[in-house]
Amino acid sequence: MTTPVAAPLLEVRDLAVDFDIGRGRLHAVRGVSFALRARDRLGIVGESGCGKSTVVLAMMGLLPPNAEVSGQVLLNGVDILAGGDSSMRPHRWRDISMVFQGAMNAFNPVRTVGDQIAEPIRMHRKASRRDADARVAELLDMVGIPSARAARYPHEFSGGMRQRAALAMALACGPKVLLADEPTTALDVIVQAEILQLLRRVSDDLGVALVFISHDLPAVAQVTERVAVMYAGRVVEEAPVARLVTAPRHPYTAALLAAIPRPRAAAPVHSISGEPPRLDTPVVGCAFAPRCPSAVEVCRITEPVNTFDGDAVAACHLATSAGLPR
Amino acid sequence: MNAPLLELSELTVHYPVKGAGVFGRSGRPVVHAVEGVSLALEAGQIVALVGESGCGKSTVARTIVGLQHATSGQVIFDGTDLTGLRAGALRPYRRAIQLVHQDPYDALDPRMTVRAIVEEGLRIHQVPRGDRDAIVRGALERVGLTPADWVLDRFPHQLSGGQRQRVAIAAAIALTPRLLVADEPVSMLDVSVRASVLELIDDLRRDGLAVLIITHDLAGAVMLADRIAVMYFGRIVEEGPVGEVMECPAHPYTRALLSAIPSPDPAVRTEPDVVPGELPDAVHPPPGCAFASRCPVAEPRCGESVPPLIEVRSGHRAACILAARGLVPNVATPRPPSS
Repeated sequence: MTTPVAAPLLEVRDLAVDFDIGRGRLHAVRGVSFALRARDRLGIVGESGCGKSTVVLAMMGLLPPNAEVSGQVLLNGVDILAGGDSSMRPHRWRDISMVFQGAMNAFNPVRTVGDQIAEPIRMHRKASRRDADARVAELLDMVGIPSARAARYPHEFSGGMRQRAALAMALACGPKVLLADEPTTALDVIVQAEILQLLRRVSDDLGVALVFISHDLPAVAQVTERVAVMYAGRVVEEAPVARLVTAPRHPYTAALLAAIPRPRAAAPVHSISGEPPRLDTPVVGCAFAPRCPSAVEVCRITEPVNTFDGDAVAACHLATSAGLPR
Repeated sequence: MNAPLLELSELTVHYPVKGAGVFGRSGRPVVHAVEGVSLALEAGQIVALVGESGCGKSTVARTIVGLQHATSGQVIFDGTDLTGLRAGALRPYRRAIQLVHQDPYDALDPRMTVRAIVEEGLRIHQVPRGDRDAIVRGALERVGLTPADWVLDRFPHQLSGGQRQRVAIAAAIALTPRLLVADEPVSMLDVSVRASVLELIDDLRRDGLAVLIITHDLAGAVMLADRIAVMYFGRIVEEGPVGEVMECPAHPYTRALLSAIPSPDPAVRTEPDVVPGELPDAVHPPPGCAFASRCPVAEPRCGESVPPLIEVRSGHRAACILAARGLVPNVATPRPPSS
């Protein structure tokens, strides 16, 4: 990979999110940074509660009022977090858009799908009903739904069709960045494969930068070029996907890979024992150390800093450029 | 071969269509959820029933545990057909067959402690009060929640998803069932803990427990099942020993499912081996093979009649006229290079 010459389209710098939970503070996201150019695709993977969804909700300004966000989200060099909701609003759905987990719940059951896809177009682009309808037909066509289906209600769509429609809605205003939070998690495997193909194609065809959140590393590997692995609110490893899956430098990444069942491979599957740490107390040492098979004394005392190696970064005391010691 | 513990014989379940009362007085339409399913399960054996949403696999599970009436066919457990039994006679079988639900977040009452959750079934089945504490502790330790004291007085919200599913399994095995029906036992869990819950289920069979796993996750099912039955549109389309079905899938639908499992290696692009399309209408099932509309190798003849499930190799059955003639090539998608 060459060093990006142009300024990135989107840059997240040192993003941190704390939740005030009354009896204390929950450190959900700590020091997350990444950059995307047009057409770049980044995956963020990790277990439930690792903070991956909080990252994208913060980028959309959709966190609840008890969230305290710090850091920067730069869109074409302008920080859209700095001015609170008023600086975010012109960009939300127009420049940065999102597909939510569970397309079942993303639609209002008593309005037609076409009507709901048209809504952001009419709101943000001040388009007439006729123009909006034409755009809806174009969007549905792009995601592989016959445009006559626009007049149908969400319950008349299968799960896969609903996820396609949710994608059409997210693309309605021609965003430059698309955030997809577990877009295939509730889907059957064949439908999932079709949606993964669609995400690749849409990002290529429209030049949209994609952030793909999932707990499912293989699904992410099928779509994105780079993957960031999150653990306990922090990115512990980020690398090109081929390198990450063949020579992981962080033991947590290796453990996630070992947990993937592969139907025709003889390799045994290992789950990760133990539970992620509590996020309401400060982390001492490496957050993964209590579950890490390779942990040594320093891991329990000092929090590892990021070590860079070419186009990859890992936060592990044991990380070497060759990957993990076997 | 031992006599099977559970035998489904031509099990058929039709649901009446809701709201069809106004015009549908005569010949009320029905949804054909399960159609002529036959399957056997021995003690100590794990069988996976695999298929996509809406294929009828959960209806099969609900019929076995008695939550759904069979329209026709038999559910034979240890030599007795359960479909004809009244509530009183069914009671011992309700204890012998336990269901583990998909969602450990919804299946556990949030206001009950773990102790109360595991004890509830013992109370219902009139296990003497004095024996219950030891049974509850034993079940929790059996599922790996040790020491039991640590978890007994906790509420579900204080537990992780994996721990909750272990509590649900403990509540089931506390009743010393002979058959466990697990409906998507790991699909709500993180990938990182799925393997450990599947290992637990694998371990339980060593006590002689038979397990029917209902899942859409073929890759996970392969880890522990002895046999696999693939369902499509209410019917079993392929059934056989797990290794055989993986290495030589005979039905094009099984091959499609295998081809759609994403590889973590980005160099191996997942290209599902199907024609894009939707499931047929379950109220008006097609006269021929239900998969023909999405099948990449379908012939006109496939639409004529429903292909029977016939043996393609010893103990390995498939419902496809091409497989019957040996025409579906036994070449599955290339195995990704093992790293």
